[in-house]
Amino acid sequence: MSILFDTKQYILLIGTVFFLFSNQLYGQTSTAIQGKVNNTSKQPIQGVTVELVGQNQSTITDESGIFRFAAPAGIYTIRISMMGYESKTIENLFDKDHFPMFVLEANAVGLGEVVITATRTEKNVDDIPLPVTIIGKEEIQQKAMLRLDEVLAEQPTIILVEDHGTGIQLQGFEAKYTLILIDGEPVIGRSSGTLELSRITMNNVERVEILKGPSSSLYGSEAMAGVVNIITKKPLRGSRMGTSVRYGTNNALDMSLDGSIGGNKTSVYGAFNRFSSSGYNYARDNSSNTVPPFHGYTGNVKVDYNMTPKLELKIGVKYNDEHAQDHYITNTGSNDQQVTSQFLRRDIAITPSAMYRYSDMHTTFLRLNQSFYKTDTRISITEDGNLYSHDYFDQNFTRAELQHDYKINDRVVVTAGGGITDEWLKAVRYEDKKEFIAGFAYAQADVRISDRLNFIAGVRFDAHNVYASQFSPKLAAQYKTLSWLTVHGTMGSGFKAPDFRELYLNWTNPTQGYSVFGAEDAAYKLNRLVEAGEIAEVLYDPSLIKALDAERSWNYQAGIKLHPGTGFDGGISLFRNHVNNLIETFVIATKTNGRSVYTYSNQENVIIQGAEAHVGYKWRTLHIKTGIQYLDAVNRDVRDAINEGRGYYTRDAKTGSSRLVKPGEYGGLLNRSRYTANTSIIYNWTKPDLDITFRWAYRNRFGVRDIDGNGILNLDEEYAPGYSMFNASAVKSFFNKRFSVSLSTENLGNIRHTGVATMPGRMFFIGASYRTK
Amino acid sequence: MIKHHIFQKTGLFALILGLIFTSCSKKNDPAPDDGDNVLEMVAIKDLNGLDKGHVCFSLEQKKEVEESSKDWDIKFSGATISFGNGASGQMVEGILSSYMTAPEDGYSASGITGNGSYYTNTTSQTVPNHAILMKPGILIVVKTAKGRYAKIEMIGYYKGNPDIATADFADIPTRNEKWPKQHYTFNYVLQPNGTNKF
Repeated sequence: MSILFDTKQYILLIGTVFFLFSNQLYGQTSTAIQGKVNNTSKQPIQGVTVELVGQNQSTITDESGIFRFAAPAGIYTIRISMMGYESKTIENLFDKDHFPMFVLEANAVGLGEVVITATRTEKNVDDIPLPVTIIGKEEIQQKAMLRLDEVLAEQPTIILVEDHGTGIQLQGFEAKYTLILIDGEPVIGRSSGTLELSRITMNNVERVEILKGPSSSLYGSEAMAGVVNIITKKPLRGSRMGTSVRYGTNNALDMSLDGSIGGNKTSVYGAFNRFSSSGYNYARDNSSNTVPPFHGYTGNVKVDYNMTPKLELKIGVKYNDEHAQDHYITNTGSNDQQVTSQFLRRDIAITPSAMYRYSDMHTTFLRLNQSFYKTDTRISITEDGNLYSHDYFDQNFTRAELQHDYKINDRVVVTAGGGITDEWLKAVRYEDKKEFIAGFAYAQADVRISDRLNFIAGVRFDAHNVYASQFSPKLAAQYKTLSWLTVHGTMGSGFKAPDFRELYLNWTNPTQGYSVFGAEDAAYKLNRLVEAGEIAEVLYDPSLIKALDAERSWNYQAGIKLHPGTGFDGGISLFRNHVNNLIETFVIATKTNGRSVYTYSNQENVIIQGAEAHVGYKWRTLHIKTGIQYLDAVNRDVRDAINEGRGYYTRDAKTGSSRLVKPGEYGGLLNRSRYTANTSIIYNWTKPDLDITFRWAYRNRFGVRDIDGNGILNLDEEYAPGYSMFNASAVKSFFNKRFSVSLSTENLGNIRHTGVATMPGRMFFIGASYRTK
Repeated sequence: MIKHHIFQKTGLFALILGLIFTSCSKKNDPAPDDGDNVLEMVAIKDLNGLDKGHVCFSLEQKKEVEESSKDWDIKFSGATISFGNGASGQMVEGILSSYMTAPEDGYSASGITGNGSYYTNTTSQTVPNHAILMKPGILIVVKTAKGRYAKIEMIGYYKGNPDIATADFADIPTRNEKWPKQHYTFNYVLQPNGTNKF
């Protein structure tokens, strides 16, 4: 019902936009433009993808290396890409007298890629003074990977972490501090802060962009560690279709179909994916499965409508659901019984947008986002089918945003925007419907002072109906010192707003008996428990519970990018984050059942700092990439106390008597590895057209528990040992890459960590795919 | 996660408590006793509270005494430490060898117990599971019926005071067999002269 209503509103809104712009519309004569792509030996290359950047048009070169677009003469930016060649983005004049020739170089490092996440405008990655990583669909196909978690697991500075779902630890930050976007729009539905990454299929993905460092100056809350932006495939002119299937360990079956069809004005892209698994259980007993059997669907439809050469309308609809069922034995209050659990997760995102180009200088974007997310878990007694527990969670997210880009001249581009967000939640663990209303505005200047020096300055203001307004600045600069050396630096601030859980949770664990209340209502809820006679002792005066403030970080990064010679690229960066006001639970009362009552407050101050280095080398069809990260993540208050010789004790292993923890013994935050490293080797054996990859990811020991009761990480026994993950794949292509079969394996070393859902041991997959050209 | 915070919060509470006392003591603390008046540290190993379900102890006599006697100061029953015959006590933060001045007040006869007090009762989430582990840096200061002060450091709950970080200890059947529970190991210092200076 509400979906229908909201859609009507959007149609009305879009209609209004049409009306506003309609008096500026005018016709333009349509002619064809064309060009040619050669290799360095002046031989034409067939099958090169040529894309008109910002025009949603793409084509493939014919056997003479020639490409054509039905577009009026003018200056266009085109992106030329082909597997095994260095991609290029070039601005060129196309008209009757100009038949430009482009040369693609084989076997060089992939320079000149375009990214959007760093500035919200399409920009060459080399001109961005920020650490950005791009993972293209070619690499994803070569490695035969299908879900977002598989792709991110292999990236330097990223570790998969498990906390109510699979998330990422980016530069030492927990999963809740990385913003996940699909085509620039936030994905909603986090469980205890973690967004389940395996929800997101790679089948309809063009590339994944990872921006490291706080980006709240553009994106607001959650973008404290960085942003992962998944760019899905665009609807293109002409028609094309692809399908793929992969089957492997644990009966993991993934099937997908996608295709697009497009004419002069309208183009449509559609993708469908089904993913299922029989799950697995570490314990191999009657307990609930580590991952229960599940099946899920993802559907995605995108329509682009070039109404006039200046006005482009788009709508995207994404649907994802997952059904899981499990049987296990649990204590249902009086005795152990066999229960059946049924889990449903569903999210829908509808994202209409309009782009209007007034001229080369001015472009306006209107973006709307209507997202729904729900989970529903029912546990019933298997014997009689009686419902034992029902937990649901419904979340709604609505956003309208206007962005304007103003290219003042060749050197200065200004981007500014603003919008409104309305978000609500209804769930078993919340007393009633809770709503957030927020407004935001941002501005960014991208200035190229000279061919060598450029900087980006941005600021964003977020106002909110519940917590204090946030102001997030950022300044980044880079200087091309030498032809092969670029120096860059960033200073910026990020924040994470208190979420619904921290503000409003109303949850009593049915088996354990403890209660957790959000900070906004904790005093009231505690008072109700006192009146009900359930409280033994109040430990903290509820009138002193403070309103939650956003968690805030200040980040400093500096680094260099290197291109020391053909085929080589590399970089080193140092980062330091001062994070304040981290929200943690604390005990406010003890119940008569001996359990505690918790609420949230801003408590901890943390420093996360480190260094990262990566190097890549391409020689012919061999591409080797390697990266390492050094990380130091500590609780500042704990570290200061230990340095001053107070507060934290341990036991002498021999005598058993207490002593102070020594400064060198403090291991910092849990689940952080001091050293992590990744290496990936990709080789294309040209003659049989076989892509072979081998990847290695290593993390050294990381803290997992506290044994000596001091609440901190300080003993060797409190660490889990480090491990290496080895993944490999082989993809054989036929018929000019139209058809391929793949064989892949993950976790060759069969590393298993109990309770880590992403590591079920060694896995093998076999797959096939077909794609029309 | 929640459990983890209990430890931290009560730890913090104990820390603040300890800070208050230690910082007070520094100002008006005379130099510690000179060499020939060094107080003796008593080390008690594996005091058996399992057989009877409890055990009573006299700090003055340095040994187990009958519950019916009027001599016992502290009684261990499970993980609860209670005080008897007019004794009272409290938890403070500190290390036995460097804790020099007992608090003037704050003593209670009601006993000390509860997860996160002087011990941690680990959950099924933390290895070793379901173990009673003595928290480091916590002392129990006792004022006996005669008004004498003692400082006690609890060390172990299991017979033989095993290394709690081993895989054998983490294995619950092995633990019960090799190192029976409710065997209390602790060190203490009693000041016989009636002052609160150790």
